[in-house]
Formats: sequence, C-alpha cells, structure tokens
Amino acid sequence: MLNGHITDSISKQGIADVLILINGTQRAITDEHGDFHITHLCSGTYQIVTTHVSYRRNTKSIDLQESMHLDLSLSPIANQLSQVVIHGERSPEKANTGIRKELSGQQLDQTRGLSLAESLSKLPGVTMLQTGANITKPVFHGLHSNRVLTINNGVRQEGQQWGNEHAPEIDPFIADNLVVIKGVDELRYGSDAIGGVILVNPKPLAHQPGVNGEVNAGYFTNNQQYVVSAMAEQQPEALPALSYRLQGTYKHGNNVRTPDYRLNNTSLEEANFSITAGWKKAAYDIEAFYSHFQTKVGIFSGSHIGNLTDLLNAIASDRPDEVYTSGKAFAIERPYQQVAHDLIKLKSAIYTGNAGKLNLQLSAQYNDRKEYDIVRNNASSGPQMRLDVGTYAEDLSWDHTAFHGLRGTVGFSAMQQDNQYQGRYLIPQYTSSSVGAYWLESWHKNRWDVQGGVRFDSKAIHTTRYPYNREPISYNFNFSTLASSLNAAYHIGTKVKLNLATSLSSRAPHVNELLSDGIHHGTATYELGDMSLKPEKAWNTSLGFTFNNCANTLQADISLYYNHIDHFIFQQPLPDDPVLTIAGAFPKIVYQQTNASLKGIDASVGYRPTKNWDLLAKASILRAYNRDLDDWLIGMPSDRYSLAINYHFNDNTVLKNSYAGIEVPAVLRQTRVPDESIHGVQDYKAPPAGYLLCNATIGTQVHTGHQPIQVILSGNNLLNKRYREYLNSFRYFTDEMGRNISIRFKYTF
Amino acid sequence: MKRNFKHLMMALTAGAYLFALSSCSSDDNNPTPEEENENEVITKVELHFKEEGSDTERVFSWSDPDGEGGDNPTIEDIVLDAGKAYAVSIKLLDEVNDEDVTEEIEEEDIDHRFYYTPSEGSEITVSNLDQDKNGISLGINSTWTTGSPAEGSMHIVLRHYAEGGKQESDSVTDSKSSTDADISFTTKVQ
Repeated sequence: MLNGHITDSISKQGIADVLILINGTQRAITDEHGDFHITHLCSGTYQIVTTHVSYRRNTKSIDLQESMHLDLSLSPIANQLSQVVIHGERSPEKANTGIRKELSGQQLDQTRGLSLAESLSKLPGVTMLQTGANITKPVFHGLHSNRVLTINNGVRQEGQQWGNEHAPEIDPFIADNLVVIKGVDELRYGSDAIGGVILVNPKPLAHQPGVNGEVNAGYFTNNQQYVVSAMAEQQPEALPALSYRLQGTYKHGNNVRTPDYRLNNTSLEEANFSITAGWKKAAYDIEAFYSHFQTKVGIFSGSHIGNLTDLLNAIASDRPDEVYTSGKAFAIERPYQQVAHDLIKLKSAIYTGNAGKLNLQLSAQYNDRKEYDIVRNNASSGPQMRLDVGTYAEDLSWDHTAFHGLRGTVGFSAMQQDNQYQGRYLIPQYTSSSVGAYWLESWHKNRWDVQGGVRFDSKAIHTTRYPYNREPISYNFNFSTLASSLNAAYHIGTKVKLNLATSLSSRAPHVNELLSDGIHHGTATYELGDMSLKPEKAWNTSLGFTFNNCANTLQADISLYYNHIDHFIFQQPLPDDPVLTIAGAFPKIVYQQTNASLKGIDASVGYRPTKNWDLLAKASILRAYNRDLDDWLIGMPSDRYSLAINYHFNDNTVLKNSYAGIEVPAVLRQTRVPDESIHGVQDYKAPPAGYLLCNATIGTQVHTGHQPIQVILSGNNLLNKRYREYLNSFRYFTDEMGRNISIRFKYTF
Repeated sequence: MKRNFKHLMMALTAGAYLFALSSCSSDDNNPTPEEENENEVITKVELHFKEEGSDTERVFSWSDPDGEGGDNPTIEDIVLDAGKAYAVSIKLLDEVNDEDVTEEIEEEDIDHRFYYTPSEGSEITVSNLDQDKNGISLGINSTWTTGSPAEGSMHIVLRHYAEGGKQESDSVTDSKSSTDADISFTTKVQ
C-alpha cells in the first residue's frame, strides 16, 4: 500500500487534483487535502510521476516494501499561460469498474489488415456475425447490431448497423486500442447499449514538438490481399498549442479461396483517410476530426438466390457449382455493395479551474449505402437499393472536480437523423430526433472503486413510405428509455480484484424492426416488421475476478454475466403462411418480442513459467434462452476455447522482442438451437460441425537503421481445414477460408 | 483577454459546425423523396394462345400490380379446348416501369430459359420450344397440345444464367442458374 501527501512548496498547503502515475500504468489523484492512497501495489521499484496544471512535473523513484508513506512538494509554475499542460484526469474508461476488455499493442498489431470485427474477435466473449468472408460484424455476449454501440473516436457511429449484412464503416487502423465495455460508462453514449459498447480509440495527439509517424503494410496469400496504411503527425515548434495528424489506408483483395475452391466475386476494395487537428492551451483545448471511409465489397455470386427452391437446392449440394468457383479476377461484379461514410467532429474542453471541465462535442455523419443486385438486364447500371442516412449529434457535458471524494459528469446530448431511400423498399424514409441526459459519479477509497449512473432518452421518429402509384404512408413513433448502472470493484490484497456490475438498459425498436416489408434475398424470406413493438429492457449483472501475481507470471481474468432481457426483439419464421410473388412462394418471417436470458462465462488465464515461455488459455461460453417459448434462441455463438503457446527469444543487437507461437482455437457445434419438434423448422440447415484450427505467428523487431521495423509472419488455418461456422450466413453455400499466410511490416518514425 | 479568446473559440466551433451541417445537407445527400421502384419487377405474365389454323387469340394472365407483398396476385385459370394444338407465346411485363421484359429476355436469350411443367393428368403436353442463338431451348414460344377434358396445373419457371454456361441438359433446378420467375396456373381442358 502506498499513501502520500502532496503540498505546494511555497504555501505548504495540500494540492488537490494532482495526477500520480506509477510506472506509467497505475494512477491516482489527490483529494481536496492533497492526500492519495494506492492499495493494490506489489513490492518493487516504481517510477512515480506527479503532474498538475499549475505545478512543475516531478519524477521520483521509490522502492516499495509492505507499505509506505510518501511526502512530496511541488513548485508552482510562474508563467502559467505559456505552458502546454497535460491535464491530470483519470481517463474515464480506464476507471471502468464493469466489464472491460482491451485489444492493443502487440495483440492489435497481429490483427492489422483485418476488419474491425475480426480484430475484436480476438477478445474473449467477442465473436463475429458474417456474410461471407468480407462482411463481418462484432457480436458481444451473443448480441450485435443495434444492441452494441460502436463509438468511433468519441462519436456514436450511425450508419446502417441494423442489417446483418451491414458491417461497421470504420477503418481499424485509426485505432490505437479497441475496447469493449459493459457498465456505467456506456451511459455516456446512450441508454440502449444492451449488449455493450465498442470503443475505437485513436492515440491522443502528440504534444511534444516534432514529427512522428507510422507505416503499416501487409500481404495475405489466400486472397492476394494487400493493405497499406500510413500516419504522420506533427507538433510545430513555433506553435506549441497546435498539433495535427494525417492518416490513410488502402486495402485490395482478390477472390477468397476455401481449401477446395475459389469463391467468385469475393474481392474487396477499401480506401479511407482521416485528418485530426488540435489546439491545446492551459485553459481550453479544441480538436477537429474528419474521416472518410469507402468500401466496395463483392458478394459471392453463388449466394444469389432467386427463390426458396433455389435456396434449398444450393443448400442441398455440398459445394457450389463450378460456374461460381472458377474465377480469378480482381474485378467486382454484381452482386456487390458500395458504402461511403463521412464523419466530422469538433470537440472542445474548457478548464474552469475549481468548477471542473466543460466539454462540447458536435458531430455530423453521412452514410451512403448502395446495393447492386444481379439483374435480368445486363444494361442496367444503377443500384437496386440506396440508403442515405445523415446524423447530427450535440453533446455537452461537465466534469466536476472532486467533491467529498466523488468525481463525475453531467451531460446532455441530442441527435437528429434523416434517412432516405431509393429503389427497392427495405425501410422507409424517416427523420428522428432524440434528446438525452445523464449523470455519472465515481468514488474511490482504499480498496473500493464504486461507479454509478443514470440516463434518460426520449426519441421521436417520423416515417414516410413512398409506394409506387399510391399515396405516401406515414407513421409516427415516440419512445422513452431509461438506463441506470451501478458498479463496484474491491481489491483483495495486491493480487485480486473483484467486481460486481449491474445495469438496466432499454432500447427503442429500430425502424427496420417496426416497418420492414420485403424479400431478404440472402435468406429467401419475406421480412415483415411490427409497428406495435415496445422497447427492449435488459437487466445485466456481471461478476468479475482478476488475478495478477506480482511477478506478472500468472494472470487470470474471469467474468460471469447474466443478461435478462424483456421484450427481446427477434425474427420468428412463419413457415405455414408464405407470401406469393412472381418468383414463387417465400416463407414469411416476422419481428416478434419475447423474454430472453443470455448468460455466460468469459475466461482467460495466462501463465509464464519461465522468461521464454508463456501459455494463454481462453474460453467463451454462452447460453441464450427464449423464456416465453422455453426454448433456445436461434443464431447464437457456440462455445469456444483456445490455447496458445509462445516462445520469447532472447534479444540480440539486431532482433528484439522476437517470439514464435501457436494458437489452437476450438469451436464446438451449436447444439442449443430451437427445437423443431416443438416449434417447427426454423432454420434451413442444421448447425455445422465443430472445428479445430491451427494458427501460428512469428514476430520480431529488426533494429538496423535509426528506427526498428516490426515484422510479423502469421499463418491462419495452417492445416487448410474444411469447416463452416454457424454465425456465417454463407454456411448454407460454402466452406470458410482456407490457409492464409500473411506478412506484416510496421515502421515507426 | 483570455476570456474573450475562449468565447471566440466557442463561436468558431459553432460556426464550423453549422457549416458542416449545411454542407452535409446539400441536395446530393437529401435526394427528394421519390416513389420506390423495384427496378426489375415483373408485375404481369401473359400467355397468348392461338389455336392452329385459327386467328382468334386467347390470353390468360398472372398479375400482381403492386409487386411482391401487399395484395395477393390475381391468377386466371387457363381454359383450353380438348384435342387441340395451340401456338403459345409468353409475355412478361413490368407495368411499373412500363417495359416489356420479354424483349430483354430475347436480347439475352443465351442466358435465359423457360421451363413448363404440366401436372400429371392435366392432359396438356408442351413441346416445340423455340431456341436461343446457340440452339438451346429458350421457351418464349411453344406448342401446347391438349388431350381429353381434365383439370390440372401448369408450373412455369424462368431461369437466369448470370454467369452463363447454359446447356440443353440443364434441369429446372440447375445450380448454374437462378430463378427470375416461378408461377403456377390452374388449367382446365374442356
């Protein structure tokens, strides 16, 4: 245990709000008397850095035994205005006491070039919902799409997340770390984070003068995909307040290969860039961010389904016809989707001294999605469906200074959205506007960290459909949703942390759930919305256990969760009531509500018996149940385990941080699906068999020039195993990707 | 001075935001609402019958003017005389965009094929299908021969070969092609 007292070297008074950083990882903040306590520290040598707006930075090395008291005095800065100051705040999500899983550093480097969902799926509890190899969505604890909010650089991503074939429109190269949270901090972004929140966090802008940057390049053999991403940032010496960053990524891949055949028209092309500029002074800072994301993704031509008979025939054959598996071209043909997403954000903070910090964030997003289907007439050139959604959001929040040990935020947010469609009807034109307010507090004392929060949102939706040759049809909806959360963490000794979190979230039904009306070609079903749907209400409780011995040779992170969801919206097939169309009869599938429960365990245990070897075991288990029907829920991830062994080489003058490892993920067959004997057939094909893969990675840092170059050689599905994944809708038609060897370079300057 | 500057920054922020708002809501981003358009919908299928040696024409149709969903299609019964041979031509119409879809199919005849499957006991046989440029069955024109009076049904499927590869031996469920139209009529031979 480390206690301390920090005083002003002249006045000898205690100083509040000093940030104490221990080895750059753990942190504490002094209270109003200048006192701080850190309970969970092992014995050892530590670097203690203290920073404050108005005082000179102090660095001290200590040798900590059982417990220790530290008295420090800081000298005030004479000329405050000329200083660029790092403000001593507790980073809000770092203090999260609910569920928090982070992907960063070497782990993130190993996923460079993959999609956002593929990268996140390295975390226990995260899986992917796929439409083929190129369209991937993250699934957290069995929930996805509108139930999991994605926060792109502080802005709630508003594209077309509701669809299963709508992947998040985000360049993962923007991120310095990817975080999944469930707990009080989700209330900053909405009351509807029933599944949780994904944070895509860029690195903060540099505030040391100079030019920095990074170049990433990668090549993947399976689909001859290459990816290049570069970032450069500068803090000009002449303008100490200014810093800016430019970043861009280009990715191009050919047709994907399964072990036995190639999948025609599975190429993809993606081009993204972003610009960030910041102006930072002692009393305020301001940051502007603009990003553009653009992708064109081919959809396997053998998956185009004219009607139910076609689908059943495609499912019945164990591999697609040769006409869909012989192509080698990079060209993307119909069917394909083309999506552009633009985001502009302005964020400013004003430091009001004793009153705290005032934050204002304004953002505008524009998403343009075009879907090109296979058409009868080869001469037609336009998309068969276009959806354009524009979103404007305003967030004003106030972080108050410590008050009797409480730190917190009060915020107000508003959002306006406008969606237009052209061509085929899927969802109507709509405008929606929502306003919300939240209040979060956190409290830290001795062994306890406690967080609590509450949020209220009100949303109004006005929809209009413009059917052919008929009068427009309009509907209005109003929803109010309440959310609250209470988390507590307790430290036992220096090695164990326990946390208990409970959250209430509510999610208003989305327009597609209310008003869908049309054929879903990928699944040969006729989807119908229901205007009487009520908001979903979820009670989520989680219990976490983390263990970390002082030598860092044994680490464990186990979380148990139970999500009790009332009015859970899902799609119920009605096979006895087909819709007759020119292309034949389509089974009807309607949005319905039930009461559901999702419970599970995520566990990871790491063990490093010697300096050179480490072992990592992970497990994710989920049980998703329809409480009304007394049956399992459809489309939920099956249990999965993985075991990894790494060997760390000793450094030499040229190669440093070298390692070689093997990872064996095992995915079981999903046996918990709706019982056909009770509620009829709900799926066209039984879940595929489980599978065991073999992946390997070799990585090193080459130190020859001024700056090191990181090289990572990976092999996925090394044994070229034939398998299908239950959460990939293409499991009806094709095998998963075969062996994929990749090489990645990263150069930092 | 410091305070003024702060206000200036706030004003600039707000100004930039308003600019972003106005530029983002320009015309391109807000297409004026237009009527939806399933741009390749087939709303009507007509079968034109001409008895051999006669000039009178009978037409039976399958019609779904509001496209998929909405109201159910209207399907006329095909009523034919017993013991006759009819020259039949099929016509597909997109009434939404006022297009004759049959013309498109004729232009790309090597990538399309009609299949006619009469039910057992319907006393109708379909033969003499016309052919595409490669001499493979197309089926826009055909000959229907009736036997003795009976009731039954006729299943008509239009298959589309988006990737080509059409062959005479292909069945109606061949995996190289997908379904553009799939309809059934009740037939009465009297």
